[in-house]
Amino acid sequence: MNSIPNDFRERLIRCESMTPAYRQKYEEEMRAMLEKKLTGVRRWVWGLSAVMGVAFAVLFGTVAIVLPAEFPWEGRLGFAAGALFGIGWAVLGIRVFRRGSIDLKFDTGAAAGMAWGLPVVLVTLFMVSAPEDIIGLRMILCGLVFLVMGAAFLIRHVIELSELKTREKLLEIEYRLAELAERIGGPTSEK
Amino acid sequence: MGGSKDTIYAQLLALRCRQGNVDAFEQLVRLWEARLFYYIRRLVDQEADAWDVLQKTWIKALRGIRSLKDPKALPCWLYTLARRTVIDHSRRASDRPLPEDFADESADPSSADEPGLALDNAEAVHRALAGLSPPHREVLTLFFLQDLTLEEIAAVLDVPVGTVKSRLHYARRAARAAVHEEGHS
Repeated sequence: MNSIPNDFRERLIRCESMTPAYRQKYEEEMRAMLEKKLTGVRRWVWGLSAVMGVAFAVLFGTVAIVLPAEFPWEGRLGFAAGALFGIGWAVLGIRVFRRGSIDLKFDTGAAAGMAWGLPVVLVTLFMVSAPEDIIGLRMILCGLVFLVMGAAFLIRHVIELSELKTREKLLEIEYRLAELAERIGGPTSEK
Repeated sequence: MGGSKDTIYAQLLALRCRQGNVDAFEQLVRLWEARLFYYIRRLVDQEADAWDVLQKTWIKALRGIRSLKDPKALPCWLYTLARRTVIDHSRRASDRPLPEDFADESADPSSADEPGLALDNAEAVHRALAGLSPPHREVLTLFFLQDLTLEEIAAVLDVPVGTVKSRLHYARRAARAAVHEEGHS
């Protein structure tokens, strides 16, 4: 639509004068926005959650080991899963506490993954350990409601993610082609 | 736009942002902050306020980028976010009339692609923009930033395409007159 030179925007933007102090303040605030700084209280909450993670790991781990041999294996596995969850949560809590900020890239994903993974494992074990009677059937049905909802959510998420990945790959190819076209014969067609 | 490679790269970043990639968002900020700042600065009187508005725009973008279904709509979406943030800021500060509060000129659809405007001196255009009325300054800024089609500019400004064409016509005429006058003085 434009009959103006291609580099006009860059030249125009270069005309803009900026006060370094304002720019620096903006940069700092943007950094803080992407790496969520914790207040003192929230930092200690993470520290406390790390301590609790360690406590749960020790407690459940010990229980899983010292339980008598005749204890059902599903229950022992459940305690072991709880211990693993505790270790994972403790590691995450210590990392966040030491850093004093939440890394949106890793920490939130790890916390969500653990918070989602443990109930799935426990519900599965809960269903596996159900007795072969009407109470057991009720236990399995209750567990199934949770698992089906979880699976539906997961499938939807996976489909959406794979669709985004496919589009990303196509755009990557398009980008490489545009790069090649630019190298071979100057800029590609304009909008 | 400046090159289709840039457009595709921005779309790629938008897609990665939708997948929760914070690195991609950082790159998107780097790619877009200068032009968004330029646009916002043309609508906001104080530089400090413009930086503040820019930061708020990015906060909104970070929160809302997952709702951006079509990455091709990224430029339009970002300028719309920036404009709404400016409007919110103006409402709070009540320091100047909002861009849409100005009366429109009568539509002149044939005029937008008027040739021979001799507006290729960026520094002169930059100075001339300051002398235009806010709606003219805004439409001409969007036009010169080269990210949007006329239809997209209309969507950002929330006005019909005819109004954009009309505003562009008068804005370019006024800018050309200002550049011309500056050349003679």
